[in-house]
Amino acid sequence: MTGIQSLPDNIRLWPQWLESLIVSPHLADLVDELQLPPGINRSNLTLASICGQKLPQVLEQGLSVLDDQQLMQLLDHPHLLFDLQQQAFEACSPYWDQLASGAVDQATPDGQAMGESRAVGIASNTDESPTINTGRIWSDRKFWPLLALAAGLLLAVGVWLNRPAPTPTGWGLAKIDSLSPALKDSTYLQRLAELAAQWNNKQPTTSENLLQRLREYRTGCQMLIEHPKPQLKPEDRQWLVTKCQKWAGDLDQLITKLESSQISFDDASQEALAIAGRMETVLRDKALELS
Amino acid sequence: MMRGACNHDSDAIVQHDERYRRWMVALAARYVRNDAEEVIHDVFSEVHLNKRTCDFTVKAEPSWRAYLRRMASSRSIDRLRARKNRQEVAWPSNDFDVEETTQSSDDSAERLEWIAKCAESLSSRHREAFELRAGGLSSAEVAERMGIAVTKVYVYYSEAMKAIKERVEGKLA
Repeated sequence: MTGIQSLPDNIRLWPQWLESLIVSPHLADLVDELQLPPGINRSNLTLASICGQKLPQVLEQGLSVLDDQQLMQLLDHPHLLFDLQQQAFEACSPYWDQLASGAVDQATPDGQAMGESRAVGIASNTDESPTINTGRIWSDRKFWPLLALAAGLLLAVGVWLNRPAPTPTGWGLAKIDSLSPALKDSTYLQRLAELAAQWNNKQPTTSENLLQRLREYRTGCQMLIEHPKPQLKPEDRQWLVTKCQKWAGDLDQLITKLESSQISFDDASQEALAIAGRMETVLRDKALELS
Repeated sequence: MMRGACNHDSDAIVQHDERYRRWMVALAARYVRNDAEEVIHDVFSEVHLNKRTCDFTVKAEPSWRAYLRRMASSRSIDRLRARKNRQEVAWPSNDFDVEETTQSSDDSAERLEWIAKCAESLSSRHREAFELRAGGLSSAEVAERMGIAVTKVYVYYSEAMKAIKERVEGKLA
């Protein structure tokens, strides 16, 4: 789902949502959905008049510098998003370029460099590790194996965080490897919701197409279950695995019904849409809860 | 890298294209949607063959991007015009600048009349959101007046627009 139907309810999530559209070919669809019909007078607002003095910051750091009113004005005058798209391209800003290059997940909304955000990720992971009392415990030999184990784990986390980014293949949740390990938990879930929403990118026209697409979507679900998900705290990781197993079960049932012609193509399409919609909503709600 | 691209260094060309391709496709999609990839492929071919780009240096990155952006726009509009000549494009396009130059005032009047008629067939909420927005209220004002979330206003409006477009296109087809 890339159009206005995927607009987050929380206005603070709009900048990220809009930015991802601005660097994609789907911006035109959004503008199409929101524009006033030809022949109806539009106001004379410009990008500069909406953003005011914040325009250079927008071109440097993205839309999160705008307030709610300004974001709504942009959506009320959607053709101005094309102006923003052009200006963002010509601004040569690392922030927008990272978004456009698909390295969206390696840039934080604050425009931090990839290295910085990665460092923050490592630091926060370290903070979340079980704390060990200082003092006596460090000199107690019985804890040395524990320390060695902890060091090994930290090394493993370091290797994981610094591994070369694998080339993401497939679509939907199968692209889970494209998400940076340094993402904040809420951002990570938001990105997962966007990946889940990729179900809506294509409308299968035959049962065979639908089956194929369902199997691919199911594969993505399995990849998510098996993924280490270092972005999440253990309890959230467990929550996500449980949810994923439920969705995977729903998808399996639907695939079986479709394979054995127990369900019509139209009904199966509707059910698939409902499952994908549930996945997206649950992930977005959880992202919101954690933000 | 850019100088390399000008000298037809294949690695530099690949790097150049990877760096700008997604941006360029996004820019071209404003005009040609599904043909954007193809248009940008042609633009890059043209850019790499164009000797004039050979004095480009990294210092001139902003002007290089402006040049690329103009290329993306002009080649996309060329493609759009070629499509229009084959009558493949129906109203409305997302681009007012392109559309308005090719619409007669009679067409506009007919469309407005049809829009008004089509709006009558919408559900009351959709019609209300559509009429208030088209009447000049901001989405925030419409939300307040209808007592709904602003997100819902955008959804109602876009659904209304979609329904109207389908009807108008059906009429004009």
